[in-house]
Formats: sequence, C-alpha cells, structure tokens
Amino acid sequence: MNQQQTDTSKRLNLVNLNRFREEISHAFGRPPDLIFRKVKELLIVYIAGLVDQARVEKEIIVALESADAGGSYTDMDSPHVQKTDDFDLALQLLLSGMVLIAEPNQSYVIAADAASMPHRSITTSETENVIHGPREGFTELLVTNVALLRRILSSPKLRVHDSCKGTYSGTKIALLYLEGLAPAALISNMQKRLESVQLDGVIDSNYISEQIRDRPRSLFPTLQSTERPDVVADALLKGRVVVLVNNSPFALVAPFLFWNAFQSIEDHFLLYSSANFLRIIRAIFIIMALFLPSLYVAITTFHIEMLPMELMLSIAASRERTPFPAIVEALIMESIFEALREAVVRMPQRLSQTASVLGALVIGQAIVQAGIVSIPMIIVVSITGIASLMIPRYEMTFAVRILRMLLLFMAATLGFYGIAVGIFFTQVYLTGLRSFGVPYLSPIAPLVWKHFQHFFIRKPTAQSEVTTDHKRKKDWS
Amino acid sequence: MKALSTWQIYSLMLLFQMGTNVVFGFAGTAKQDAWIVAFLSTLGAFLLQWLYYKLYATRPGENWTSLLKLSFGRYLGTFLHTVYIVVFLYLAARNLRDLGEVTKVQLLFNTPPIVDMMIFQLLVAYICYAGIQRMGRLAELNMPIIFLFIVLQIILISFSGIMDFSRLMPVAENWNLIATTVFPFSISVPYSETFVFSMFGALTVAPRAYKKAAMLSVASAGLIFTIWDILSVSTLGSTIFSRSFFPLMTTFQMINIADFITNIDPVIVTNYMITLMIKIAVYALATCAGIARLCKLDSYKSIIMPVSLLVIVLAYFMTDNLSSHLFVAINWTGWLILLPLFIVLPAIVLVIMTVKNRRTGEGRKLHEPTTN
Repeated sequence: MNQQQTDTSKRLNLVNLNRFREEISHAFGRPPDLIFRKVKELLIVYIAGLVDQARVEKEIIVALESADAGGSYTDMDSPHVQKTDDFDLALQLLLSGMVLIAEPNQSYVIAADAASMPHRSITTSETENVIHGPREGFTELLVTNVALLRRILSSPKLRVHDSCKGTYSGTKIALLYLEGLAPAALISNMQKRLESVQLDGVIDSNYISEQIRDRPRSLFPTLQSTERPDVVADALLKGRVVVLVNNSPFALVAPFLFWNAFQSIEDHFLLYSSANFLRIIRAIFIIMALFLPSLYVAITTFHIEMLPMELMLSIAASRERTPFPAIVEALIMESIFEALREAVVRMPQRLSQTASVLGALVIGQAIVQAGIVSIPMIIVVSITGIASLMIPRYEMTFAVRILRMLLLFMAATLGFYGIAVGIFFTQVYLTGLRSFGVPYLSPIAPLVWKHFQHFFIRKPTAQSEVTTDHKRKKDWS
Repeated sequence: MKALSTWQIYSLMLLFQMGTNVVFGFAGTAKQDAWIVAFLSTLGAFLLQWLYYKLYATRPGENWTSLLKLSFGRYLGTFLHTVYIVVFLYLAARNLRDLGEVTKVQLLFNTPPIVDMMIFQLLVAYICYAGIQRMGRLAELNMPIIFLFIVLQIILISFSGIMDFSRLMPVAENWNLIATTVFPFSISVPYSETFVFSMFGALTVAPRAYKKAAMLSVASAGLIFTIWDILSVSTLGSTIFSRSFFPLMTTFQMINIADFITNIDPVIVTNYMITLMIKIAVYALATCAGIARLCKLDSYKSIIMPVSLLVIVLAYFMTDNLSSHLFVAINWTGWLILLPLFIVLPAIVLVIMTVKNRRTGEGRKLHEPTTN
C-alpha cells in the first residue's frame, strides 16, 4: 500500500505494549468492534466483522500459543503476512481486515490476513440482461471482480494496477488492461486522469467516472459503465482499459464511442445471422425512439399532405375530439411516460401491480375517452417507449430521451425543417466530442475502414476483430 | 498541419458540388439534352480540377490569398483579396437565399423565410466555430445518409412506372444550345465553385491527395447529375423540366408507390439541407478566413458572428422574388463572378507562379509530395 508515506509519518513504538494499545484505541476513538487480545506476551489487534473469527482462532491464536513466539509468523514468506513500522499504515491494514500481531521491543508489527469483508454473493446482472451467454454480474467486492475477470482471461498479460482514492473512504480502485493490446497512450492517459482525482469519499464508480471522463457535463456518455464481466473482458480484448472501483458493481470502460452504445454483447452470443437481424431491428427502433414523436407532431402540424389520403383522414378524425395542439398532447404523454418510468424504478416491489393498472387503465384508456389525448398519440408514445428500452446502454437512453424532447419542440415550431436543423446541431456537437483521445463518432467520422467493417454487421467470429495480431489494435481512431 | 483525410475532403467536395443542384437539377436550360450537358461539363470539370491541383501544387504551403499577393504584389493583391472576400460572402448569401426560397415554397408555407434563414445561419456559424476538421467529419457523417437518400429516390422513381425514355428524344438536337450551356454556366456552377477550397489549401490535404479527392468527387457528382437529369427528363418531359423552378423536386414529387408512398419532399429537402449546410459553411468559413488574414487576426472565430449577420442581411435583401433570384444566377453570376474569378484568374496565377518557380527553382523543393 502507501509505502512512500513511511518517511513522513509516525513510527510505531512497541517498547510498551500497553501504550501501543492505547495509541491505536485512541486513533479509532475507542470503538466497540476493535478487539485486543493477549496471547502470551503478544498483543493481537483486529476489527470484528472485517475478519473471519474462526480463522483468527485457528490459524493465528492457536498457532501462536503453540509456538515459542511471534517468530513463526515473522519468518513466513507470504503475501498474506507483512511487516510494518508505520503507524498510519498499521491502521490502514487493520481497516482492510488484517490482524496485527505486536511483539514487545520490536520495531515493527506483523499483519496477518484473515479478511472476511461482508459482501454480496455473485448474482445475475440486473441492468444488462441477456438470453444467451454468461449470467454473472460484478459484486461490490473488488477482489471478487478482478477474480471474475482473471477467470475469463487467464493470461499473465492482464495487468492490474492498484491505487487508493478518497481521503476518508480510502477506496481501492484498480486499472486493468491487456498488455500488448491496449495502446500505451491510452493507458498513460487513463493513469494521469486517475491520479488527478480528488475526492473525500468514493461511494460508486460514477464518482470516479465524472472526474476522469471527457466533457463530464455532456448529455452523451463518454465512458461506459457496465455490470457484466463478459462485457469488460470483451472490451479488454479490444484494447480498451477498465477501471474497477471497490464497493461498486459497475466497471468503467474507456474509450466509449457513440456507436458502442447501440451494440449489445449478446450480439456475439447469438447465431451470426440472428444477431445481425437483431441489430437491424434495434437500429430501426432506436431511430424511431429518437424521431417518432417529433415526426408525428411535424406531420400533423405542418405536413399533413405527406400522408396517404386514408391515413390522413383517420388521423384527422381521431384528432377531432382533442382540444390541444399535437405538441401539447405529445408533451403530456411523454412526461407521463417518463414519470411512470421513474416511479417504477423507485417504487417498492409490492406496488408494481398498482403502477401497471394506473398506467394501462387511467393513462391509456381514460385519457383517450376523456378526449385529452388522441389515440394515434398514445400509439406513438407507446412505440417510442418500447423502442427507447431497446438501447443496450442505459446511459445512452438519457441522451436519446432528452434529445427527443428537444426535437419535439423543434418539430412543433418548424416542422421537418426544425427536426433536420436540430439533428444537424447535434451532429456538429458530436463531431467535437472525444473519449480518451478517440473521436466520438469514429469509425464513421473520421472513417476508419478496418473498424468500420465490423461496425454495422457483426462478422462471423472467425473474421472477428478479436485476434492475436497485436499490431492491429495499436491505433484507435 | 493536415487537418483532413482524403475521404473527408472528398465528402466535403462532393456534398459541396451537389449543393443546390439537389433540387434545381442540372442544366435545365438544355431541355432534353441536359444529361449530355451534365456529362460534358464533368469532362470540363476534370480540366478545371487539374488546373486547381496544379495551382495548389506550385506552392503547397500557401493558400489562395497569399498566392495573389505573391503574384500581383502588395496593392493589387490586397485589392483582389478583398474582392474574393466579398464574392465568398455573396455566394454564401446566395445559397442561403436559395434555401429560404425552397423552404418557403416546399416545406414551411407560413413561416417567414427570414426565420428559416436565421436559424440555418446560426447552424452555419456553429459549424464555423467548430472549424474545418469537424466540418470534414460532419461531411463524412452525412455521406451514408445522402447515399441512402439518393438510392431511395432512384429506386422509388423507377418503381413508380412513370418514366418514359422516349422523352429523351431527340438526342443532341441542338449542339449550339448544349455548348452554350456547358460553358460557362454548367462548368462554373457548381464545379468552379470548388475553387473556394483553395482558401484552406495548406490546412486540408497534400496536393496528390487533393487531386485524387477532387477528381473522384467531380466524377461522382457528374455521375449523379447525369442520372438525375435522365430520370428527370424522362419523367417530366423536356418542357416542364426546363420550365420548372425545381425540376428535380418536381420529379420526385411524382413518386407514387401503391398510393402509399406519395409525397417524399421532406426527404429531398433534408437532402438539400445537408448539401447546403456544407456549402454555406465552406463559403462562410472562407470569408472568415479571408477577413482574418486580411486584418491579420489571430483567430477567425471573433468575426464569425458579424459575417453571419452580413450573410443574413445580404440574403434577405438580395432579390425580391425567386424568379429574379434565379435569373441572376443563370445570366450574371456565371459571367461576372465565377468565370473571371474562379477560372481565368487562377489560370493567370498558375502561369505567373510557374514562371516564378522556374526562375527561383523553388517549386521543385516544394513540390515534393507530402504523403498522406
């Protein structure tokens, strides 16, 4: 851990063990879970709950009682045992679940690992579901998450760099990449950004994400966060770098490009042809998620002549009863839908029945019968709602939803012209974004042919991007 | 520093050349032989691009305004520099006015065109702030969209069953008319307009890559124009084709598939907006760059807003109606602006620079191709 602190900070004083005990107790503010035990002349310190009590008894206390002195531990050459003469480091070690063994008149204490951090077991990921493919999701424990990745990528080339962030939380974060695949510039860029992170506490990986990503205030995510080890492993194989944060099941993957948001890892787990079929369906519906309400508003407000006669008449007939202009209808329905979406997330499980009844009956049926919103608008908003759930990356759904609202206003004021101008503005904005030095719209703008080939269509795995040819991954843009 | 790739400059030039022709068609005055004009103009345009390439290659590090100063001395050079700024400004405004007119006639009947033009110029100003590199990315981002739209238009019109190729007869009826349409009008608009890219010469790509991109873009544009003209004449007949304000627009309005896909003007107008966005932005950026060099400003960004305002004002007060606007385009801009300034003067400068390079032996050193 922080070995460089040794020079500046306080040394241990073990001449009097009682005084040592007092110092440690004082540093923690005499908490009830700080346990001191005496075995022969040795003092054993640990924090209850962070260590495995049974292991402490069996491996440490019994061993020490049978042995002559602490010497048996001192001689052990194991990563689980370390010596330190630094007081602050000793406290830090205690907090990470080590057991301190202090011997009188020594210049150091021995820290033995018996950590058993409270944690959740590995479960399926909640946010990114697949039908085929691995089901595990990350947990809150960094060690477990790294182990999950090591299991998928059993290669010594998988590099893990540790560091600590957060003045008070002291959260461990790990930078992972595959040596030889990830470009050196990307790694050093990430390391530099991670070093500059200044925080009191890191509760979730998003705390780190906001400090290291490009344009943190942008609507468009420039850093991917994912709960799935297979997604991370895939990203590592494509030469990306990954940041894991202790206490957060969400890994950060960089660089993250615009088009990545519309590709699901499941594309690689399905039959080649069905995966491409799904990609086409997804593309169509995501475009609809963005444009459908504004197109509807533009057509009914400005370009009604675009529709075939029968369709025009039936839409006009159903709009007859509603008093509001199309934009107001659209805003009412859109905001109700967004509210429903948010409510369902926050609501206790038992109330979900209520939400679906309210949603289907009151908002669907009654609002039409009351003549507030026309039926075509309900259909449009429902299709849009389903379509926006198809976006594989959760972060991007916000961009699409907010952009949809903006386009709605443009459509209501200037029709198709407004939609086009709105999209052009977005395009110009996107051309200026970068994610860790890679242009956001790559590989289309700028065109990078070798990545472009893999971008619309998932090629069969035999021709896929993942190869052992390291030279191909050198450049990203 | 080379900010653009060959593909980017190709996309920029192709969209730039398509420009207003997306709705106005190409060489409508040549009646049923418009497609021959389109074809012949393309051949002429190759010569023209070769001229621009040679000019660029004489001094790859310079742009057009500094070449003017080198060739004609300080005073005449500065005067011509100013003339070019005004011309670029005028052409930006012309194209913006075109957009205003088309939008008013085809899309937003009740909105005053000044509103459309102001919003569009705001977009153009934003693109100018973004700079030439992002403009290149914008162009290549829109290439697939344009490609998709063109293919869609051609397929839909073919399946509407209204094309009659006998309307193309008699082929090459009046060679005199063809010749006068090819030169100067069809060559000057849009092909000679690509000369505006010489304002960013040093920024874009190496001369070799420029030649490749320019030639390919002319070939692509020529192909598209020829196909459009054939489609349009065989759908509308030569009379309506030459008389309509927006022949291509009118053509694609005839699309009717099973009474369901009947009216795809918004698609064409979107197409048109993409190409015009690039065209106006290139002109506006050229104007800003020209002014910045003339006044020796550090950055052209401070004058984007004033220039944009000027473009809007000029576009608004340019003409009274669409007819006079198009009359000026067909009868005046070609002869008065594009022919002397975009064709003759570059040729003169090329001669002067070649002689100068011979004398000093400087050309050989600079001519070394920087690979791209």
